[in-house]
Amino acid sequence: MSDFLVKKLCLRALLALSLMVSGGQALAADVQKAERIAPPLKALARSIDSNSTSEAQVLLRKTQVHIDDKLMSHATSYIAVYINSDEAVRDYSQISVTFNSFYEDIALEFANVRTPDGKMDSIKADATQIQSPTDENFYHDRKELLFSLPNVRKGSIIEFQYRYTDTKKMVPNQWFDSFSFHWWEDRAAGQGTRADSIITSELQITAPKSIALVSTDTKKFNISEKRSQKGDQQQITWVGKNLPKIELQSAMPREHDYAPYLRVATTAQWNDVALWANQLITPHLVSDAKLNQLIADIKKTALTPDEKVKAVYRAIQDRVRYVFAHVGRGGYEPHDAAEVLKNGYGDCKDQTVLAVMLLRQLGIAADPALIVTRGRGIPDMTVPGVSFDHMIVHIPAQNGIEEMWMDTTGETSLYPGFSVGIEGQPALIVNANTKQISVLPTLAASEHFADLELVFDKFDGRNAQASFKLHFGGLYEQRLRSMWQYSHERDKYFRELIGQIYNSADVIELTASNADNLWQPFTISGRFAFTNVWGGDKEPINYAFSITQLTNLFADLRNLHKPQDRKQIYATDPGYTLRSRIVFTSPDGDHQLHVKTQGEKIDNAYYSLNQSGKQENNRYVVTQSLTVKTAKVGLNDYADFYQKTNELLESSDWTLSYEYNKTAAELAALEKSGKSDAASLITLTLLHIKNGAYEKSLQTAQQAVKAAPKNAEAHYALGLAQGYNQLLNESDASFKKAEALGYKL
Amino acid sequence: MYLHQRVAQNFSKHVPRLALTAGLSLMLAMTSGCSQQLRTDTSATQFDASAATEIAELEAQSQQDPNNAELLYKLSLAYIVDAEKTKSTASRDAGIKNLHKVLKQVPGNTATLKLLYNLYYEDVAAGKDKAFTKAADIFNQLPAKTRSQVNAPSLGVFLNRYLAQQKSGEKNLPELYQLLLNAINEQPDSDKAYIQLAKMYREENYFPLALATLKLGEEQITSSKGLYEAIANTYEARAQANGCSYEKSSYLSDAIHYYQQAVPLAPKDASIHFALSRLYLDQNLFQLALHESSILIELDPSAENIAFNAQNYSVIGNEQKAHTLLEQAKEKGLPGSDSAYHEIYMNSGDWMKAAVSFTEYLQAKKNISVYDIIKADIISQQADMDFLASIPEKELTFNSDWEMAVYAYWTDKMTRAQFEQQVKNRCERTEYFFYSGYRDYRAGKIPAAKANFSAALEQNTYRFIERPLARHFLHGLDSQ
Repeated sequence: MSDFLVKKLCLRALLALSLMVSGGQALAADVQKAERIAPPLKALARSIDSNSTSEAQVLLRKTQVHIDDKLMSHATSYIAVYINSDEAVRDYSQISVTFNSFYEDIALEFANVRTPDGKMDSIKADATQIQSPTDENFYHDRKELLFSLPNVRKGSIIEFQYRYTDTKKMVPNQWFDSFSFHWWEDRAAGQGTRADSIITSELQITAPKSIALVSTDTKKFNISEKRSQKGDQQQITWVGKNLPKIELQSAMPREHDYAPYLRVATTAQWNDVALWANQLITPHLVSDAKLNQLIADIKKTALTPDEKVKAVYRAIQDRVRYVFAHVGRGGYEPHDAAEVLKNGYGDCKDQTVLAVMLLRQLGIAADPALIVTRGRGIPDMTVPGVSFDHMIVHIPAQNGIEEMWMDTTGETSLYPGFSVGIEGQPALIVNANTKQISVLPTLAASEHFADLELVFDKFDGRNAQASFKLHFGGLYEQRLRSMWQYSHERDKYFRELIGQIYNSADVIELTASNADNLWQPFTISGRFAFTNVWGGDKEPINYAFSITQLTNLFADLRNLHKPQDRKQIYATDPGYTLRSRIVFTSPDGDHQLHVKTQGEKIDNAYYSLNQSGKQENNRYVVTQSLTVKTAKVGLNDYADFYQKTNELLESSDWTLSYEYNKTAAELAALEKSGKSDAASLITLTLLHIKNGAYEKSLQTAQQAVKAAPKNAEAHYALGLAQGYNQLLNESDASFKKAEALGYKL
Repeated sequence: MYLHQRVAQNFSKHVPRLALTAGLSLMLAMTSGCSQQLRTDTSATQFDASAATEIAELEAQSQQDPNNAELLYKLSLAYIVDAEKTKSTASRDAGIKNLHKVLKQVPGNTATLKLLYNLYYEDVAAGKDKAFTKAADIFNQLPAKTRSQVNAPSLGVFLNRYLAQQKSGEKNLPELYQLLLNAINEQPDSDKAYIQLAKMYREENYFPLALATLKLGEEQITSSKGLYEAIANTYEARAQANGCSYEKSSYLSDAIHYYQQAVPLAPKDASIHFALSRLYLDQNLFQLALHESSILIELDPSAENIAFNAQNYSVIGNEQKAHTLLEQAKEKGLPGSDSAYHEIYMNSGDWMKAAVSFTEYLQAKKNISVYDIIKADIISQQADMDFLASIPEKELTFNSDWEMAVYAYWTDKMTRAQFEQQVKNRCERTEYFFYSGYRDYRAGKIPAAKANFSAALEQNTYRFIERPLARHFLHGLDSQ
């Protein structure tokens, strides 16, 4: 599912996880003069657990933060890591620390390697630099300190210490920060990050006593907190001992609870953050002649509040391209609304400012809203912070329109741009009255859906064809639309993708609808061609379909961790629904349906699968609906979840065949002939009886007797039909009549 | 005093068995088919007594080699054998679960599907929830040939409902009819449901519908001994349902025709030859009847069958052969209470022996019929021996109005004219003439007696005991 959750970052989070963030020159000129905040490496080396089989062990992670009376801070961080595997050698040979060059400076104070034979080696001057991460769509102030350590081998201990210093205040009169107690190291070749076990993790904040510092609760992480005062200074120390390695796995919950972390701030009031953001944005709600003209144009055509909101959304979609261009602006301050319209591009806060400006001028109350997107998870928001990475428009309920969260930046989400990337995430509505964090609504599992309609409708010799149509909603709509818009060799890619529904078939036609229309759902339709699937004529044709043909394409249930390997809570978030309607058509009237197996119904804590089949004229229609429920599966329940998932994947398929049937063939021929003479009706009656269509047999038998009252065979047929319709006395009478007319029974 | 009444008693081990064939054997097939199959399939595995150890070992091997379908199949069988022995639901469930695993690895494996189906069929017959759906799912996956070797899922439901109705006493025949029609639909090439449905129609006297049902089956299934037998049996029952099968001899011919078709399909089935012998005799084709009874004895030389053959000879007047065969039957262990003894002795005028064997016959009976009373009278009169001492202990039962009329006439509560008015068919007419003739004979009205005995013979009710008795008395009068 993670593939579906990618969301472009708009705001660059500035201070989150800032222990990985520093600033300034690559390698401080006074490297040798830096004050070491950790014990000697030799002493630290004694804490190595020689029996440990872990790839790496962080011996000490220590950070000292000093806040002055102007609420500017500088911090020193020290990390020592014992390298115990070749994989760790690769990962820890190069260290990267990101920071925002607009607000802070960074300096590497020292970096050493103690080789397995006890020699110390220090970083070389040419092995460190400050660089901007490659990100073609963004022009911003994020940079990274990058340095390579010499002679890192299995058995080495690396240590480094860096210092970062605030150079500007982001929020005047306030100080915010958040800390991770693990060291998050990028894996080599961009393969994610790792957080190894740590023997001691310590954070110490020193600040004037006059400053009130509030922090999140760390008891649940087994992190101790100690407060002390000395003179006019206060000191708070948090210490965690023997913290286990964090194994990141797929489908983890959005909440950050899997890793010990801490947020510290000088205020407990979200209103302080809202006020700051409001005063940052409000000055940019300015208009000019072009913007005024746009407002006037919208007023002419959009008369209701609903029409006005849609018109604003459309105007921004049509006129403003999403581009992040904010070098030297610190990440939170937008351009003027008029400037955004004039430039024809802007990032999320630019577009939001323009949208809010337009809406307000059109008489619609609207505010910007700061969002923590899904990609950043859901942090503990009990203590305020400035860790938002996106901005959208909040439109409160008013004048006949319901509350709405509008995101104009998306090119892949239907109006109003409410995507899975923001669903259920924390939001701070930017106005002077905001007192608390809001949570964006979540969509029901039924609103994230993929619907397949497949109709086998053409038979040609030994080949068959089926038309298909895929409808999407929610995350599937966004994801598939995005893939369609951005994939290279789109047609080939999608033919292969859709072809997974039936591996044995070729996708011979493929059409997408509404790919660039954010007002109508994106759909895909086309045809499958099946080769050599039917012997033709009197041969049977076999059909099969399983719900796994949808889950294989639209879910990722086959690659679950085995229970013994699962280390994290498993989250299905959001829940989703996969539906199908498959029409299996008889190749001709001579073939009779034979349903061999039917799909099962399943209902448990994780899945709800409803399936049914219905015989219609000359075809059999299977409908399936699988709801994968929104769920958080704890480790104690994971084995059950794993088993239930396997049961789902192994549940019965629909298998059916249309087999040539002499009776069916004769019946079809006779019905097709339209003959209504007594002989034909008698034959039809007997064929219906052989086919088990007793009610029909009664009708035709009655017609036969009516057509030929003196026909003994007609009465015989009626006697049979009546008997099988439980009209036993009537049946007896008909047989007697038949015999009286000369039928030899 | 029908001979065929007596034959019916004598051959109750045959006739009722035929009548029950569709019912009882179907029940047996439906209940035991599975376990027979299980026994057959599992016998090859040769598990020792330590099922638990065997299962544990197979489980361990299977965990080591989880993709080994053969191993999983063995494990399934081990669980099922254990479940059979211990009645353990857990073992049975484990067996089923492992069979499903086998099918995942070897989709469509016939042996696995069949085994699994039989287990689910048991559940269907036991009325377990959702069992029908599961059974139907597997049934539909069976190859057509294998499908014809098992019972249709709806037959399991029929069995369950049939037994439930029997137990509760609440009869709902339409429900049972419909279940059998469903079974026919599921398995049109199996004769079981046709036969059972026809049997039920027949029991309700819907003979034409029963025959039409069986003939529909005959169109679908060629060469079914069961169907041919059932059709023949239905024709016989239909002939008899009219009161006197001799008046519906075309039905008897039809019955013969279908029994003949069953013979090559089951050449060693003695019961078909028994039926044919009986029917040929009814048609006065006594050479053919004797031939069939000789085949019957060849195939199944039981005391009862030899006695039946003896009675056939007695009926056609070959007393010597009849006595010889009766002795053979006696040597084979024919009980002294068997009616063959006194009837053959009566036919040949050996009244003292008839009296002795009839005494034994009476003593073995709980209830007596009017014909037993008449026999008692005739034998006691002919042998000068009183049976009254044993008769009062028995309860007299009547099976029809005609029997009551016979009793009334015999005990002088009805005049001959009144008795004659009760006659409705040739069978009753045979009795009327014989009993009137015997009355005349006892009264010394010889011409009238001779006329009545002759009239009894002229009814051509060939298997009536009145016929050889009439011939015996007539012969006696002629020789006077």
